[in-house]
Amino acid sequence: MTRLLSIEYFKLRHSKYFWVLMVLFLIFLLAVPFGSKVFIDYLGSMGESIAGGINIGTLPIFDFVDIWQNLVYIYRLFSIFLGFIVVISISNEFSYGTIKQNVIDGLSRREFWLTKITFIVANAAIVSLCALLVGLIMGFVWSPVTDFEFIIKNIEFIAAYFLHLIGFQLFCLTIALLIKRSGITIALMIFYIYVIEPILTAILEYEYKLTTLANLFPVRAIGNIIPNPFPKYILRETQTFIGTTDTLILCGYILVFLFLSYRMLTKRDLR
Amino acid sequence: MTVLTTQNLHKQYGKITAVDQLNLSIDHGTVFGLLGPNGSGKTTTLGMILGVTRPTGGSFHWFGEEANHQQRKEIGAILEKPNFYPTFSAHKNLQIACKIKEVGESRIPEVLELVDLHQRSHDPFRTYSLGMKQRLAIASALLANPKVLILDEPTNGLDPKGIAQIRSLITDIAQSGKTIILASHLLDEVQKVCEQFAILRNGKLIHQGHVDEDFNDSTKIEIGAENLNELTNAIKQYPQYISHQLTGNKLLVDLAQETRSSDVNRYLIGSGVAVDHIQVIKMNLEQKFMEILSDYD
Repeated sequence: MTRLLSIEYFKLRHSKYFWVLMVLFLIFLLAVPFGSKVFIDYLGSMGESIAGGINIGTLPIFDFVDIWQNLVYIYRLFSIFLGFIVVISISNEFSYGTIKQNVIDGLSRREFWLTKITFIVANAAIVSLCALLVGLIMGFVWSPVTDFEFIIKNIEFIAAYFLHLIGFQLFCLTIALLIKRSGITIALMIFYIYVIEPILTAILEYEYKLTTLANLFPVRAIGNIIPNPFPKYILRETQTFIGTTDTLILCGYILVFLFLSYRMLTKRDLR
Repeated sequence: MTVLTTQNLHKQYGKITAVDQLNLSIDHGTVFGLLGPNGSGKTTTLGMILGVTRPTGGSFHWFGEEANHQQRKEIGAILEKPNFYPTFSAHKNLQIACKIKEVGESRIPEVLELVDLHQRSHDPFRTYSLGMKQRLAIASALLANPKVLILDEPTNGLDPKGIAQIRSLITDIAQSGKTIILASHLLDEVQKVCEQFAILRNGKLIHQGHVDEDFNDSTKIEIGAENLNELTNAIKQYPQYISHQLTGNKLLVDLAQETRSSDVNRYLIGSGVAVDHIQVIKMNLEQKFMEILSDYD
């Protein structure tokens, strides 16, 4: 397994696109939470308040307990960067014909699939670990409470983020294997993620009251494991835990994507 | 020892039969030519034995065992065109091949030198000329010191100098005792470097033989005489006679192996035929190829 991971890592390590996207992503990982903390504090000092007259600066957005869900919810909006890495890495193999050469050289198709899967899991683990570190640092610096029980309360959102990252990258892998061309895949993916699916699910949810069905759409299902925590600050009803059904749906999708990507890589001719 | 055998290997693309119930057997240490016009199923066949194309039916065995990906580590192959990561240097591309084949990287400089690429080994692959790309493909195929080398149209698109380089490289490699499978539509390429050959047509194996035997089993002699009827009657009586055919005002006669034109001439003069032209026709693979193809029609 480490051999397979090292093959994939070697390919990525020497590719410019990987570093550009990864560095951009890591910059967001740091800049977004720290930047918004500074921004919120600034708004607070200017006396800005939200509905109900609460000063924005006093909201416990980056305090322990709240921080985990808030942080990974913001992070999951940037998962698309990791998705691009997966899409480019797989479509390049097809357009360069290198997947064929890898197989000719002695990699089984299953092993080739595993190089991509192990990288996806490893990258999800590293990014989740970064999220954990950022959360701990911010919490220790700004949180008024640093008792152990508060620190670990809701820390399972880091695990939810890990699962989300795996699900999202596998989604991208499957789409990339289906289309095989990076440009078209990325364009279609963006269109689907930000236009088609939101419209479809919104119609289902608000027009036909079919929320359960809407929750079965892949991108939404991949995101639902980390629900939006922010409405609670304007005193709306908000889910602040990881839903069991959401987790099951996501796990189901992960299995489906694993199965589909495996089948596409092992059953088709490489031409 | 057989290196490769195929049993009723078959590939169907919808209604099109790319490879039709192919039975091949390639011995250890031979240079085997796979001949056929474009679209005859050569690359599809190689694709199947290299694991990139899924056979519709039949099977194949490498080194007498059921085919698996581990065996491919002992095979060096290029299929169709050189496939490498364009932004990586030759060296990095070969490093990936080493990782896949689970061999050390010590042979990289050696194979790059062999194909005369060592001076450009750190430039990105996309900056290479077609000939350099093709040479890198051969270097990559030789990387793990393979038992078998599979070369699909290795001189495709090269200039005469490049073709000569690649051919002498193949001959050198052949002398080191490796089995080489060479697919080509260039007949004289196969005749120059191969010992055995097979001809594919519309996915079917229509001929398999030895280059030497196939070109030495008969001697063709072109004979001209004032009286063709007399000549025809006389030559039919000649002990080594096999067959004849009339081409224009000359007779093309098939005679048993190693018949000398001087003997024929002496015999004909003795029979009272006035010969005004006599020439041994050395049959090349091209003619043989056309002959086999026309037999098949």
